[in-house]
Amino acid sequence: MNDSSTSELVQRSRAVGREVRRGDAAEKVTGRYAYGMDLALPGMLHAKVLRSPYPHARIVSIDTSRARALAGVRAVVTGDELPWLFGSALRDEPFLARGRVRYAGEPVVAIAATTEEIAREAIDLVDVEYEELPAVFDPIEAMEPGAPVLHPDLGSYAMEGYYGGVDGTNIANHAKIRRGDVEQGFRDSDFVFEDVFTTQYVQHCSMEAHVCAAQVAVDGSVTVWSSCQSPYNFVRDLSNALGLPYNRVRVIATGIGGAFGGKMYLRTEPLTVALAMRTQGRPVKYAHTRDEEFIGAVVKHPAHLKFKTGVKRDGTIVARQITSVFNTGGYADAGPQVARNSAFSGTGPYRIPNVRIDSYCVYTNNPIGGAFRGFGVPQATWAHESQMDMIAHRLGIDPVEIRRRNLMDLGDSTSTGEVLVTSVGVRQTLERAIEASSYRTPLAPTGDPRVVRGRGLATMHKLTNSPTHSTAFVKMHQDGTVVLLSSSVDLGQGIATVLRQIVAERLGLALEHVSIAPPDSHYSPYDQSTSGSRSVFHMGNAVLAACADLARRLCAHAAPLLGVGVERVEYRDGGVGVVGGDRFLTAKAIIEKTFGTRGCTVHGEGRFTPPNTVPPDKDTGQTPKMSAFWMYATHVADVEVDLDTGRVKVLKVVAVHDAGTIINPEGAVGQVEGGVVQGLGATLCEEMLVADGIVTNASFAEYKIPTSLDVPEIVSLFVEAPHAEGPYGAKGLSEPALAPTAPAVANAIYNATGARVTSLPITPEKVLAALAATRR
Amino acid sequence: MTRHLSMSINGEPHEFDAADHRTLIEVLRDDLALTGTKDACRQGVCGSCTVLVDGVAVRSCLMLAARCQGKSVTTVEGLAAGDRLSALQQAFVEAGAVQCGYCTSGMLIAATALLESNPSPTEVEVRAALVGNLCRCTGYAPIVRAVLAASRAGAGHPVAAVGS
Repeated sequence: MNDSSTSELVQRSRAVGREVRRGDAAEKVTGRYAYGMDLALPGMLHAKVLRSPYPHARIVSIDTSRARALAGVRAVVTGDELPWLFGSALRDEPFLARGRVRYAGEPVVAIAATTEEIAREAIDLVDVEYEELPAVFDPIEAMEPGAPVLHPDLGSYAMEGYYGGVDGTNIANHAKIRRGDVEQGFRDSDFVFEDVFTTQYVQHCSMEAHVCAAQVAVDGSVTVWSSCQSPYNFVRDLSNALGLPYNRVRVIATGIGGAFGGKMYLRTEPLTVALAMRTQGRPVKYAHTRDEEFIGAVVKHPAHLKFKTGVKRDGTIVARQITSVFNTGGYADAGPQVARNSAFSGTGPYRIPNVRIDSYCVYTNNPIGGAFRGFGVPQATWAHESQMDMIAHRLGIDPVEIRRRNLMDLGDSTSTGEVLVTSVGVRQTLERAIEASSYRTPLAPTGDPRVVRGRGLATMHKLTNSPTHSTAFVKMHQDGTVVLLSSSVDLGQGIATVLRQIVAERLGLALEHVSIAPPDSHYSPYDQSTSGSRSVFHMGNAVLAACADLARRLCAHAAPLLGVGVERVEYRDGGVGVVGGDRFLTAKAIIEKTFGTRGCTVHGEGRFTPPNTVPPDKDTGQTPKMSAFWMYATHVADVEVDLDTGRVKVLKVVAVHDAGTIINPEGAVGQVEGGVVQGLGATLCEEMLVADGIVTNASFAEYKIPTSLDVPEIVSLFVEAPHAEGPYGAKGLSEPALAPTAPAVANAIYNATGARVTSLPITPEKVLAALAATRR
Repeated sequence: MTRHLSMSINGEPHEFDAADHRTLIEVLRDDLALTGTKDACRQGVCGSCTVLVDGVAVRSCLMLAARCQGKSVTTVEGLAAGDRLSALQQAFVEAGAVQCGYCTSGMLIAATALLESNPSPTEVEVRAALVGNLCRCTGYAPIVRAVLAASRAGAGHPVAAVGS
């Protein structure tokens, strides 16, 4: 009965923490990996969309008769035919514009035809008459009385409980934090500093643009294939919009060529579903062109951040008041969450007893602001780390020292009232970054007095939205190999490999004996979304629970075979053995002896919800536990500034992160290296330009992301403060990777030149203006 | 007008009809199901659709199919010898040069062209050769490391089976 002391599947070396190559790399380097863009279905039609040229206009009439008459056109649809609204926090967006358009680029007419070319030709045959309406582009103006109100029906929109739009205004959310007494705090301060910081439009520039396909069955059931981050967000938001039961909306996540937050919520899908309802079962595919990606997907919110901070003479922060305004454009999308999460990071990783934060998400007639790697936290980090340096210099305190004096430690409280009880590695990130960057060793001068060098640092913290839920299934075949079903999407960040590592580690299997099924809402169980740096922690824990459940079931089957009670057996090494004895059965033997050699599978299911997290109070932002975990990072940047041209060259970035235990070192370094370069793009060269609501650089030729020649040396290090509730102590990583980069560079420029730039991106023009200001 | 074209694609002779305005990427992806060549900007800027035409790296979104008459086209599908990865492909796998992978085909082709003309490039030469290929995930460092590793290994020789 004891057929071997160890299973042939046992992997003796640990899978977690090892250098493991990503599982899909061979498919990707051979061009075989199938992305959404590669999707081809039998009978598939192709969609094109007519978009509004005006930022705010009434639709007077639409004439589609010539388009409908074109050979090859199979469906034409306008907003008048579609009564539904979709949205996540706030259901405010029609499938196609109804009666009016709220941003230039808003979809007005959608057409499906047998080829893309015919669909494009048909779009050109549509006539739309518009009557322009007064528009508002500046979110601060949009908050003033008398501004055109974009959504007069705001008060009637379905809204997720926590968010607070203000009826009759353009405010789609007003997030608040109230802690202590900020006015008393300012009175108790030796100095009070007020500074304003701004950020720009940044587009995600995923190499694969948004793409989806939809097919509708006779009974109205909808299947959507989408290059998306969250099949279950899509099931919920599509079902809610259409009034369909959730089981009749199936969302399949295709292979995806980058997302960075941009593919978190419905975008191309609603209008594609509307077309598919009109094609008698033929699937319809719709792919954004690159210019549509700029004007019609989502962008990082530009923010206006007013920081008023009261400090003691020694640099101790006593009070902070923040008013921040996020321009969310014509529709809310992720804007309410972005404004809210930004507020939660407003203090930075510092102890501040008195805090008042008002963070507004505001409609304007601009492109739609959405989720972008960090959900408003990079904007907050830009402000708090720039101001931290400014305060240090005003007080004559060393920038490192002022941070050391204020950093949070275990036992301290966040501005949201959470006492931190585990994994606060921020101080270690700072100290390690100081050491690894040789911070105290001055940079060698360039030899050219017109080109000067400097060094700057920035630190940060970020929560993950909580509570959120993840579930997982593991299925063991009769030969003891395992397939994992999870709805975490591998966006390129490598979550599929990390989850396989966790299964291999927990079940004692070789990595190649653990496969992962693609996310599909009909098969893989619920996951909130692949966002917020949440997947390793949440799905990792769900996978561990599923493995434990599987192990329990195997033990129940094995105990009678081993001739002992179930309390005397344990799962180990790919099978079940008697506790304290060497009698052991492999999983294969257990399944075959229990069910016969014709076969069966054994399953485990697991769910994870972070314990004790409570959504914050709507009026104060306070909660005993805001977040499942907090992530921390410190970046140090070395720069060179040309005093004649204002050109900034980043020489080196040292990036130190506390992501808890690192499960896949190669993947972790990849997240940081890639994140820092994205951060540098947003710091120095990227800005989507919007003039009176019109995007003027909607192409890679005019919107410049960093190239292989634009990136400096990047040193990425981890301090690994294990989290008590994390899988093997892991937390999250992706979003913090780009947040401290921009203020570290700005602080380095100040260190080099004495010039302070408070607005992103840091263009040569702004550097020259700041240099001129220092001479006045 | 539509022409009858013949060309070698990944070493195999192909004959097909294509309208004059159709680009090479359209023919590769839509007609021949060679979807490894990626479509990301259609403006010749991002490099995702790079293929070799008679050994020269070109943007297949800017190249008319008709201009490839009689020529030899190599796409990412043609880099491996059957299921054996080229040294460059293997180096990409091992260096962590692949994240989302959407730029990978174009990167591999651009790097293949580089190593054909310059088998032992410096890091700066690698970076310069890849400057027309955008990547949004990796920050380029592991891609550059992969190309340098492959140049040491001898880029043209298959070294490992797919999936190994």
